[in-house]
Amino acid sequence: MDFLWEIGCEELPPHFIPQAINQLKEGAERLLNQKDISFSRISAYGTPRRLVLYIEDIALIQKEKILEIKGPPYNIAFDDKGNPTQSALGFARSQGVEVSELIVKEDKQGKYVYALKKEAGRPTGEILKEILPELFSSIFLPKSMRWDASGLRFIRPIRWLLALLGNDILEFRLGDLLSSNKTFLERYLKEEFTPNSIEEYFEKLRDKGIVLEPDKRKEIILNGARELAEGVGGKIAVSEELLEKVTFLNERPHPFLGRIDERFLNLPKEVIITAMQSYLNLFPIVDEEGKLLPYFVGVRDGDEEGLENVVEGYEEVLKARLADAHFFFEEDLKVILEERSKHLNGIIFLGGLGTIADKVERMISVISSLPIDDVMKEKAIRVARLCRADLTTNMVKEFPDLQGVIGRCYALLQGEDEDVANAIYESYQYNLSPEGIWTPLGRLISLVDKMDTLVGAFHLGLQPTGSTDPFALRRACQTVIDILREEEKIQFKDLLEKVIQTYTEKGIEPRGIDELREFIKNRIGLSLREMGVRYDIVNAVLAGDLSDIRDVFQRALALEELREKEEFIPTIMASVRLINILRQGERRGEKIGEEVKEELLLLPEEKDLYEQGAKVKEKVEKLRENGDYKSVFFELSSLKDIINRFFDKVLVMTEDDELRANRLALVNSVWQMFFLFGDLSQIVIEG
Amino acid sequence: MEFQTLLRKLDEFWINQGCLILQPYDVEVGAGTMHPATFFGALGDYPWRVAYVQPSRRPQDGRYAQNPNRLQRYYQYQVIVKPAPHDIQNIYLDSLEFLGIPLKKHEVRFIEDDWESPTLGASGVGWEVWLDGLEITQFTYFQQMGGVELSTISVEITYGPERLAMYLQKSDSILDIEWGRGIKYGDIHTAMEVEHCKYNFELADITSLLSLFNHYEKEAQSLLDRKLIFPSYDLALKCSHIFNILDARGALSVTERASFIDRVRAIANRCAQLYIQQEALI
Repeated sequence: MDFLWEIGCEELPPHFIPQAINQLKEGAERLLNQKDISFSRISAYGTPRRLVLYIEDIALIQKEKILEIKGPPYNIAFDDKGNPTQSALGFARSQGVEVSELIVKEDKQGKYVYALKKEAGRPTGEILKEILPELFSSIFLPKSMRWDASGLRFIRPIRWLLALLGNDILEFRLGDLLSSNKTFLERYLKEEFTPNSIEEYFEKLRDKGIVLEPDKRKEIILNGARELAEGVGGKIAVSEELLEKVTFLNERPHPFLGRIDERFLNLPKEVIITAMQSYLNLFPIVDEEGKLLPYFVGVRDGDEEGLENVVEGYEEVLKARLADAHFFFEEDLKVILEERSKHLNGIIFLGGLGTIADKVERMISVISSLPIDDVMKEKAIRVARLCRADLTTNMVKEFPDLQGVIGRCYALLQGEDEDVANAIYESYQYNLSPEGIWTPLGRLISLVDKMDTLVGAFHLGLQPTGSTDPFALRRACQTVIDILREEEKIQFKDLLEKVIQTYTEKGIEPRGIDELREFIKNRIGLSLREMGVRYDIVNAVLAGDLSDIRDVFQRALALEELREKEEFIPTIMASVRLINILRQGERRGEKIGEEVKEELLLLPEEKDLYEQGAKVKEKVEKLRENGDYKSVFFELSSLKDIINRFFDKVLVMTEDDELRANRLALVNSVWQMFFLFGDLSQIVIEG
Repeated sequence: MEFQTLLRKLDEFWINQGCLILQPYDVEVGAGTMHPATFFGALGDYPWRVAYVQPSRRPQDGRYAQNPNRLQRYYQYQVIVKPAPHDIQNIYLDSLEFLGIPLKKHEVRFIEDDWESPTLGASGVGWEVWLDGLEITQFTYFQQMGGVELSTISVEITYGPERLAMYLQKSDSILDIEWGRGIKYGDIHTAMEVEHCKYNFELADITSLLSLFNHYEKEAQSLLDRKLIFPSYDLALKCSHIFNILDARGALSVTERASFIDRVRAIANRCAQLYIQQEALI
């Protein structure tokens, strides 16, 4: 027998439906397994107006359960000869089984007798009535509401429940609703339908063009849209996000073609696309070169009837939107970006840290101090000057998603250098996107902008907590790290200091800098972990010098690569011997000599370490400049036997104060080379 | 269909649904929700069915009558039904049919749009309703009003009568809508629109508005101490409107905006609490 449950809803938000479908399916599986009810398959479907759970071949009755009931210990239940005692007889009687049916099992407490009792399964219908409300309330609601006196909560009101076990109604309540065998089809017709069977339910919905399966709807939309686009010699520009949304906005998807008034095609492409996609859920159509054609594809929830009204309606609304945009465009172009940037003193930065104009001044000051060539510097200052000017345009006020896009577009129209225009756009972006529009200038601006924001936000105590990060500081931090990872000239430490200085110069003494450093450090750790670097290597590297992020990554990646090499563990172990003795010295308050005095090196092993160490040091310094940390490691590795011999033969903590200080100085000078990687003693050596 | 006929037809429809037809409130409001018939009507558990037209002022939205879709003063047709009937979506769709829109030949969509009014301490869950892509209505189940979690849920249906009229008359501009007898919406509103924009954006005296705000706020709070709910509420509405003009004048920073909103909400919340207490006594 099959089971069907339909929850009839007022329009569900599209983002909610896919997760609700998953949870219905997984939840039903879990609960049925828990209750020992077998089935062959569970499917869940959803449209804006219904969530459907379909269970095939569900057993009519729970599986029989066998309970083991523990009785007396074996040696009390049976005598030496293995005959049952009164105790066994009594236990069997009390459990309603024969003595011969008792079994013996042994656990930690010893041997005991058990009675096996069968418990008959309950009818599935009865159990479903209990678990369906539980299943319903287990659906995660990003936001919930009430709509009637029952106090039942869901994301939108539910208006009917159809529940069929085989051909019979499975009667149960959810809030004020009682389940029945009725469903509702096309709402405008108030079309109520009472299927006689589950098959008839599915047939009827199919007949009415209601497509329960999201994948099928997506296919209908995509194929229909492609066909319509090809009909006018183009292809649809598919945004996955929009496709997903439209899939869950319709239960009877019917793609249609509409026209864009050609007068508006001279607007920036992004403006037209935003007006179509973000506001009206329409798909743009482009030609081979990606140029917009004067058409769009929309999706009607319904059929052919009166389609011309729907098409005309969408065309008109789009026209009105584009007419607005056109008006803004013309108005905006009357004032050049440079002029606009003067009005940035009217826009607050981060709710209480001066204005955007102040931020721009700080960015310019930071850029001026950076070790970059003059051409770059000049362009970067120009970008900084203009990059937030589009916030004052009508277009960005109307379409906030287009900040940066509008800046770039207007910059090009007013004849700015193309690099400058692109960097204006990039200044708003966070990810080094695969589209590869990350120009050196864009990276530079983004870096300075985000560092400024991070310092300001931590000063105001706006650091992200848990899942909330309203100022996108995690993304800002990640972007900073991603840029600095590949940056040769600008070092993190210098940049941070300079940004802090620009705040200080304006009378703001930034607080929270230690927290910011810690935040950035943690983010670097996460990045490294994501790249597959083992946790202990991450810890070791992060315990070292962090002033140059590119260097941090080089070190970590080199160690990760070397981890499987045979020299790895012995080298690390040698370095641990160095740091252990230094720590011992530190604990005892020992003085470590500033420099190694050659004349105090008495034993051949310490002379050897000193001489070889000096040679290696020279090589290491060169290799390090090139970021060749693998070779650095191999150089250090060449010292491992010398180090071991040193510790085997030389007593560092000797009685002689002068000798001890000198030997510690020697150990320290060698350790400092290892410390280029970080604190290698944090690397876990197994076995 | 003439604009005036549209409003009359909506009255007729909702009268048949058992609504009282009320009149617009006579204090400037930003939306029909602020009419006491909605603000107080949504509180408490008694049944309540009303409909009315409410002229609404949004100083920020003015465009000197240059934009075909935006005005700083326009109308809302507001319906409140408490408790919300289970078939309210269908009743609403019937009202569109009643206006002469055969729904089988059109597309009506309910697009997720949760509503919130920070000045009224109010929020609800619902949709904007699209007719062939055009937003014509806000449809909301109130959850909270004046900071009070509602125990009986009302539904609020707010039609944009200008949008509907533009649609029905196939007009490209609000100002071209025929109000009635050959007179256009613009004939009645254009001059008013332009002058108000000039006032809102250019001339409104910031200093006196700020002091009026302070004055009204203080008076509202002291009236509340004497348990006078309705005059206090009017003063909250006045504060809210002054705030909107100050905002249009660009006189408020982000932090100031937030604090002004908080101050209006504080009055509205007190009004709601007092109202609930007095309800309980009846």
